[in-house]
Amino acid sequence: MDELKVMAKALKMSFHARMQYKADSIVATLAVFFRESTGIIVIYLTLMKFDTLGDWNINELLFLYSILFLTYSAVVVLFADLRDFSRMIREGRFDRLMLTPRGLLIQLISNNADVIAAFGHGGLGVLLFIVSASRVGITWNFTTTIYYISAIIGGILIQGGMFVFFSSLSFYFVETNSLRDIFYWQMRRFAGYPISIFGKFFQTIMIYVVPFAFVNYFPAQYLLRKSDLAQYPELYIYVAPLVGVVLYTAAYLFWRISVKNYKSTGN
Amino acid sequence: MIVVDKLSKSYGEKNVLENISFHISEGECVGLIGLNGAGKTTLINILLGKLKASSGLVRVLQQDSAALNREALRKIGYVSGTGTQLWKNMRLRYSFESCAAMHNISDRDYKIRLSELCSALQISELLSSEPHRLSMGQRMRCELVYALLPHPKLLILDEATIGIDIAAKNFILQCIDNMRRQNHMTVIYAGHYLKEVEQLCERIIVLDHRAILFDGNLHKFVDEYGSFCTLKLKCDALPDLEDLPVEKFCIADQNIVIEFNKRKIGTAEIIRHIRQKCEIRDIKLIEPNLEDTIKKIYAREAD
Repeated sequence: MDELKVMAKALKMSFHARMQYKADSIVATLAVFFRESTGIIVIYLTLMKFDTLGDWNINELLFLYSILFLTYSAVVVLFADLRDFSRMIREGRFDRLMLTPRGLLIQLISNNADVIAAFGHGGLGVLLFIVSASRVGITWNFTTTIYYISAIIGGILIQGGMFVFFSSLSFYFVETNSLRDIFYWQMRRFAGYPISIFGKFFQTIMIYVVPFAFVNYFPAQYLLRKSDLAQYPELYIYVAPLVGVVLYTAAYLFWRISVKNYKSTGN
Repeated sequence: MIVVDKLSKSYGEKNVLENISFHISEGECVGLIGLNGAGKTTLINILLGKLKASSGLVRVLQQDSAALNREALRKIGYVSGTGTQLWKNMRLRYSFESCAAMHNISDRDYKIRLSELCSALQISELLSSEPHRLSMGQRMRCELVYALLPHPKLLILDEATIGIDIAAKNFILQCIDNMRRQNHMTVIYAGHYLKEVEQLCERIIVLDHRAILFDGNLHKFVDEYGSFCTLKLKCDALPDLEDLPVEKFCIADQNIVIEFNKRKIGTAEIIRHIRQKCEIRDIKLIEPNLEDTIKKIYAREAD
């Protein structure tokens, strides 16, 4: 409970900090919204010509995309400090946290929340969800709703876990941004599409290495049951919400070991 | 409060601290003195548990410093001249609120303590400004408020008055001294200059080249090692200095430079002697700096 209070406090502070110049914040939010929309527009234009992309129609693709945006908007609220973590280490700001009588991760989570990106991505996510959810033939009942919510939480944890993992690497290497760039940011650009349209090698990476497939593809497949699901074990659509929990826990353990090591080797 | 026994620290091949041992009891105020690179900050980081010692025992607040629990961390305040704990781009008030939340200080206690500290350190009118709008002196006072809000039992200051003018520095040191007496705080003050710690500490630990050079009473240190002073004078005539028991003197035009040992002859006595012969127009006494003093200690040990 107490930990939640600290998180709430940090959130409130981040909000105040980012919203200090209101007009500026609104413009920035819109900029994020439109920047991200370009990807959607490209898909939209493509589908006007081809109707489907590997059996997926435009509404299904938008639904797939909406999960990515919605989860990411929560990720930038909760894990913004970890997104820019190597800079934090370099500037020595992390050392400060070690003196505060709180867990290290709890001090970072929801700290400096990137409210602007959250509104930009989140707004687009909500919009896409509203447009697509009713047109893709999902029956929204108790089970599907619960599944959807757990899958969103799972998706947040998968990406959060990746951030925690990459941040832990910063304890060993000074510069980890390029690694993170390849494995997170570049991969994320492909996560908007159904993975079945890519080659086998790339699919393997998206499922087992940087498991974006469990953020949106498999959860969407649970609800949509497109034919390309046959390529993968059906189990995957059921365990998708759990992957996040497992990945995050593993990343957390790695984080703890790394912090311990950081203390004994020095900075 | 603090027990350090045979502490050594190395980064790879490079030794940073060697065989350091000392005790600090509750309520003591200790100056940790050393030139740049002597190992002060490393030692402090080890005490704070930010770094782990390579070997030796380090206990702080009855705990192994490398594994200080939250209860212990709550009792430690830390201010560093080079880092900041304040939120940049945020009004100071937020930083203090966040500190209260992190340290589980109740709203009521927080309000009382904040108003006490703000009036003591005179920052009440700054609460609504952001840290980057403050002067160095103001910022340091705010850092100190942040560190003192949780009522620490142990306050560690690492070159906390760097870049601050003398008046502001004296004010800050005076505040620390008052608060230390009120709250029975143990204070460790790391710095370059004897002068700084003089106002605050009775005991000093001098670190040099990875090891402790001196640990004991400040006045004893000054008496023993810091008694060689230099007196620069400007006179309208030439005095006769032959009879005085001074170490060295040199006269050029009207400028006279005298090096002497305080324990052999007092400053007042020299001046009295000179004034018998001529008028003094300008006078300047140079106390030994730490660098020279350390050199002298080595010279003495070599004898």
